[in-house]
Formats: sequence, C-alpha cells, structure tokens
Amino acid sequence: MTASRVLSLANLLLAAALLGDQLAGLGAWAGLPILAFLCLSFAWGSSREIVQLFTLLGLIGAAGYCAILASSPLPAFLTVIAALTAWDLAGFVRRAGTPDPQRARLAARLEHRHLLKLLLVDLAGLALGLAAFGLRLRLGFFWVVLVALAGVLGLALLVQSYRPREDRSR
Amino acid sequence: MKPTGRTTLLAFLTLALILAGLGFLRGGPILALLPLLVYWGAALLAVPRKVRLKAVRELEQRQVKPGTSVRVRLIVKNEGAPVEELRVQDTLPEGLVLTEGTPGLTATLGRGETLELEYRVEGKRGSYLFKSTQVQASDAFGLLRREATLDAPAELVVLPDLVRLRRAVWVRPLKTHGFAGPIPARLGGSGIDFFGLRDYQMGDPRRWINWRVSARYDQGLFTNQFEQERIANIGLILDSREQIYISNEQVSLFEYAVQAAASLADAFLSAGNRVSLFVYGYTLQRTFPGYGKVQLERIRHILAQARAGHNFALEQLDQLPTRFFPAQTQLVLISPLREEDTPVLLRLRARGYQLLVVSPDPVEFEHSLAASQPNLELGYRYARAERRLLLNELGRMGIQTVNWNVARPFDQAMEHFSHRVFSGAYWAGIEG
Repeated sequence: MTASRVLSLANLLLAAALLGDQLAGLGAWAGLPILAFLCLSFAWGSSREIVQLFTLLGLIGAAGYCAILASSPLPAFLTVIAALTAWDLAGFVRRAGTPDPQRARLAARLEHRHLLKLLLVDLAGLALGLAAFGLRLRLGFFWVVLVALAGVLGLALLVQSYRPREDRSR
Repeated sequence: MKPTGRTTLLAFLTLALILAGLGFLRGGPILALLPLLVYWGAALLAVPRKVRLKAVRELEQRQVKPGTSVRVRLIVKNEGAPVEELRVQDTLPEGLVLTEGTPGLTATLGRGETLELEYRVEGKRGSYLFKSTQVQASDAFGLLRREATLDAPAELVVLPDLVRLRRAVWVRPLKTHGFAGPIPARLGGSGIDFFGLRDYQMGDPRRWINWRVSARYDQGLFTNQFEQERIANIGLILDSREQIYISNEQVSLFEYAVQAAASLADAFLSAGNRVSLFVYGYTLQRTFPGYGKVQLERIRHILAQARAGHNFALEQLDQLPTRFFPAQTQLVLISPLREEDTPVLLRLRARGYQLLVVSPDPVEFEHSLAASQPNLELGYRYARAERRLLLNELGRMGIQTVNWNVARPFDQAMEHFSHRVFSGAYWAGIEG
C-alpha cells in the first residue's frame, strides 16, 4: 500500500499548491493557514476517516469558492480531481489495512486494480472537464434548474435501482 | 445495498456544488462537479448487484489441549459476479485469543475465484463454536456496499488437562461386575490376595491346598481362596456450583476440579471400569456409563464444556439425582465441599453407595491467592481448623476423602491417599 499512500500525499500536495495559488491570487490570505492545517492534519492522520472527511470538505469547498470568484475555473477543476484522488487513495489504504506479508500478492493485486480504475476515472473526469471547458452554452435560468433537477433526480433513481427490493419498501 | 459515510459526504459535496453553480450563476462549480459525477458513475457501475459467496471453514484440529495453537482456515468462494472490493471479517468465538495472523482481509475476487484467510488461535478449556463470517462487497471506491453473513460452522474443543495417575485409585465398592478387573470384589475365587478357606474340591490346583490347616484337621483337605478382582461401576460427580469455588480473574479452583475429574476418569477407564460422569450445580450434564477410550473422549468433551455457575434450583447437593447411579455403585465426588453438604453425603452412604470425595482445598487455594498480611494468618488458621473438622466428620461417616492442595500435582495427592488408605486413615491430604 506504499504506492497508494505516496500517490495520495502527492495529490494532496498538488491540490494544496493549486488552491494556495488561487487563494493568493484572490487575496484570501486567511484561507492559507486553514489550508496548511488541513493538509498537515491529513498527512499526519490520514488513516482516520474524520480527518479525510474534513480535508476533502475543506479542499472542495475552497475549490468551489475559487471557481466562483476566479477568472478561470480550470485550476479549481484540477484541484477537485487532485483532492478527490488523494481522498480516495487515503480511504483505500484505510480500508485495505496493513496486509500480512503472506498476503502481499493479494494486496498488490487489489492495489493495482484500484489504481488502474482510479486513473481511468481521473482521465475520464479530466477529458470531460476539458471538453466542457471548451464548450460554450448559454442556458436560461429555467433550463439550468431543469437540468440540475434532472441530474439530482437521475442520481437518486440510479441509487434507488441498486437497492434490494426489501429495502425499497422502507 | 448500504451507503457508507463516504457516500453521504460525496452526495453533500455534489449537491453543494450544484447549488453554488445555480446560486451564483457561474459555470465554475458545475465544471468542478464533473470529476465527482464521473467518480459516482464509476462506483455505481461497479457495485455488485448480487453477492453469491460460499464459505468453508477448516480447523487444523478439532480437539486440542489447553494452550495449543490451532490454525483456522476460511475459504471464501465467489460463485457470482466479480467483486471489486471484498472485505472478509471473521468473528472469533468469545474466549479464543488470536496468536498469529489476522481474521480479516480485503481483496478483489473474480467469478469462481477463492480467497483463503488463515490465522491461528488458542484458548483455555472450553468448547468454542465458530458460526459465521461477515463479508462486505463494495465497488472499487468503497461508496456502496452489500453486507452478508456466510455460514461457516466449526467447533473447536479445548479439552481439560489430563494428568495420568501412576497408580490405580483405590476404591472398594459393594458391588462389582462379572469381568476381571483391578477392584477387590469381596468374593472368593482366583486372585492374588488371600480371602479365606474352604473344603477341597476336585479340580482345585495342588498349589492352593493349605497344607498347614489341613494337617490340623482329620476330616480332609482345605483349599485357599483368593479375593476375586473385578471391574466396577464408577460414578464421577463434578460439583459445578459457583458459590463454593474460589476464583479470581486469572485462575479458578474449578479448573483444578475439572482436571481432577479428567484424571480420575482416565485412571478408572484405563483399569477397565465402567465409568459415568455427572456435572451438577450450574447445569445438569451427564454421560451414560461406558468403557474404554471412546467413553474417555465423551467424558473429556463434557468436561471441556463444564462451567461453574449459580443455579438457584441446584444450590444444595440434596437435589443430586441418585437414580442415575446404580445401587451400590462407587461414587467419586469432586468438590471443595461445604459444611452443609455433609448430611447429603451421609444419606448417600446410607443408600449403599461407596463414596470417595476428592476435594480441591479452597482454604489453601485462597491463602495462596491472598497477599501475605499478618491479620490474614489468624483467619487462615481458623479456616484450616474448620476444614480439618469437616474432613474428620466425613471420615467418621466412612467417607474416604482426598484433600488436594492444588499447589501440588494431583498425582501426588492420589498417591498419598493410597498410602493413607492402607495405613487405615480416613482422609488423606497433602499439607501446603
């Protein structure tokens, strides 16, 4: 699980660097110590779920803030990808635990598959984002609300469809 | 399907970014939302729709001695769709201690693949039932998971310690069986010990003729008779009333009583006797009378499960169901004893049972547990005097008693008892 841990920290640093630059550009200096605190707590206590949770909340919250105020949303977009990757890998390391030396082969296989899937997800997200970045659409407020509602509803229905029948009655 | 804390967090962030984008009418938050949506999509596509797993548990040994480490092997086979992330968490029965390995594992499991989980456990005397194992199958990102309980039953029995006695236990029941054995049968015939004289009968060996007696009388020859040695019915009674046993967190006098019962069962069965066991006090457990190694295994199995506890209905020995034991059987009671028990033992004697009481000494045991204090010594001396009086009273009733100071091996106590019996003493004990 060393590779996952290293990659998690590397992505965290990347997210922090991107976010720090944006916050400094926006003159939000007060955000920098908070960012530093979140990153340090994540680096020291990344095995705790609560630390991971607050770090992701902080990073994506700050990225959302930058995406609203900054002239270009691209760094915020990249920050979200890096933060999501760091958070996912930290969670994976926590779930996988410390494997026995006898089970190193199983752990390596699990890690390899996970890294591959995450890479694909990151690349797909990046490709979609870049495609969307180049796309210019002018929608009225009504259409935006409609699309958003359809998105939320679609997500809810998708989750519902995965629930077993006995759960659906509750 | 069960969402995890990660799912809630991600859902919250997704909603927050949507609202931020809508609220501020900016495309930035919506753009930042895209990686999260892709992440969601990938997780939902990979979540296992139905988990079809089968678990089999293998134990290295099913019956072991205390302190023996046993390898537990759990094999989980996937008979359904591939599972991206499978967490297998085995639950150890209470009382077992993990000595090697971990009972949990996370791995990816394809269709038809198997996963092996291996660890070692050890435990004190008892019966440990492995029931099931918990599995969690989730997508690769741990967002949504399905939980299942797989049945994988197995029983591990940690048998009580067995101290082999060097000598046969000296008992003399009123009634014996027809087969040759080690117990004097109060019947004349062929044997070793002199029993009496009778008139010479055709076919008696010449070596048996008592020439000295025959020379004194004119009417004929006299033949020596020897005491027949046969097997007997032995009923072992293990007292499991918690209130009479001294114990602390580490050690209990009851464990010594169980050890004594196991050793006695082994000694009596090795000598060819027909032995039964009755555990009285907390619950009523019994084995029917039987012979040989199979019976010893049955008895050890019952002893492995025996627990001391408090049962209001069985607080006194007078509820002991004597009908379980044939008349004139040799009973062996393993109990620390209380003063209130003596009338019951007297009644047993009156009903024709021969009684041997093997009593792990609670006074010496408690004294060994207590820190040495000057004011404790006086109490100890009083308790010891009371104990001596109790044992003397039993002796007067014709009950043989072995007072076992558990600091010494049980074998020594029984050997000392045999010496004392031959010297005519009623009770025997090893002083601490």
